[in-house]
Amino acid sequence: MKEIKHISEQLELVRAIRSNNETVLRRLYTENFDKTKIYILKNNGSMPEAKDIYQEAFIAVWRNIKNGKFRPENNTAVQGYLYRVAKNKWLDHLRSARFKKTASISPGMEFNDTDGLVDTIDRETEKKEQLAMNAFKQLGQECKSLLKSFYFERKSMSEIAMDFGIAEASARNKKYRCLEKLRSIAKAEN
Amino acid sequence: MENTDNITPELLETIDRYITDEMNESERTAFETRMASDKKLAALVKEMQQLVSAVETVALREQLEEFHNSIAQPTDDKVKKLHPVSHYKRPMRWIYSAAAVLLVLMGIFYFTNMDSPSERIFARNFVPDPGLPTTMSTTSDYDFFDAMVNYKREEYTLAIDKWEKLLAEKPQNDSLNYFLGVSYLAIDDAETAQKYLDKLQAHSESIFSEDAVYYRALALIKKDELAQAAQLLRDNPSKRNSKLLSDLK
Repeated sequence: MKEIKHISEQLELVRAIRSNNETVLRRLYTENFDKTKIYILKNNGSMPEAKDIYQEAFIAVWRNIKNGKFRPENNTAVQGYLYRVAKNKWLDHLRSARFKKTASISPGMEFNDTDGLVDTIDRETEKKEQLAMNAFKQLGQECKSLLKSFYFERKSMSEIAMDFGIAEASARNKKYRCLEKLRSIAKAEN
Repeated sequence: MENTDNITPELLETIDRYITDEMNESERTAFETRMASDKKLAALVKEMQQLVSAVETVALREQLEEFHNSIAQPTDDKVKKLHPVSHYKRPMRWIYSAAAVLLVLMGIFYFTNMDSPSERIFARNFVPDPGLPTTMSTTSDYDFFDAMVNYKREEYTLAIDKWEKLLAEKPQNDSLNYFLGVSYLAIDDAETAQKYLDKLQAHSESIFSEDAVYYRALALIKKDELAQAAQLLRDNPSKRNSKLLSDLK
């Protein structure tokens, strides 16, 4: 019963992450940063590096949850996974830095690469997404905030219409046009 | 990006619903079947997924900056700064442990004060349904989901209030009857829970019908009607139902 409850809590967490629930993402972010920070600081890292690695890890975890590559198995699954991904990213970073500069790696650090889930996104997709992100950044302010409200904040069209002070039909129309614009910029970039 | 075809507003809305998890199980399956046989559609969905993922990633990155600033701690030097941070955290931790101890004590009190064996079986087996993203038609989506948020926060009476208002318009809606039933069970009102869950019997096609049987059995157990509960479970064999049945013996 206890275990079932924990798993259902994790499933709930996964569901909330999939829908970009801000409260849940904020909690997950703020409550787990310390662990990664301490690990990186203890292993030749600086505070800005800890932040960068943690954010990269956070995005990777969020992505893998969204595309179903990660499924929780026990009560701290998501939190534990986040830490493992961050740790592996830091080790990767150290390894690549070691070839450049021979930074010392303390003997107690294990290289655990069995966690094959760290970077599941393939190069091709990564490149396309980078292009799509650049395209998005080229959109006008209004389109950017409209698409963000809809796809990230998952607001309904009626809420968005209210935020923008326009009728729902024109909000829908605007969103359609913004998306078409995004598509055409992304295609031109490709 | 591979695809240069135009997308109609209607098709865009369907793809949006697919990408943002707004489709229910049967709709999703139907759409995926359609994609499997329609390469153009599949390519369009893939293109949209990449675009949406890009929009979301940019938005998330901005949000992470804000989250990070809300942690509010020195970002300059390393290890020596760790000390003040742990100092700052200590009183909080104390409160958390006190709260945890209190919770455990309350739990022990609760369990030791429950004498009826059916109550114990109920407590051992009752876990509220984790809830839904949303499955109803777009017009009442907002209100339904709004109540679902309360439900997930375990604010069952609030959720019940909102759902019962919606039920007045759609007395036969399976999602409403199901979640009302589970909510009443969560606040220990097995009688009312049963009333709602019973309505699911008329909806054998509903995605909730199987779960509804399980919760109906739990409602019967709660009311100490163990024979009926056992009969119901025997009539509807499933892994979960058999487990509950064996617990009854």
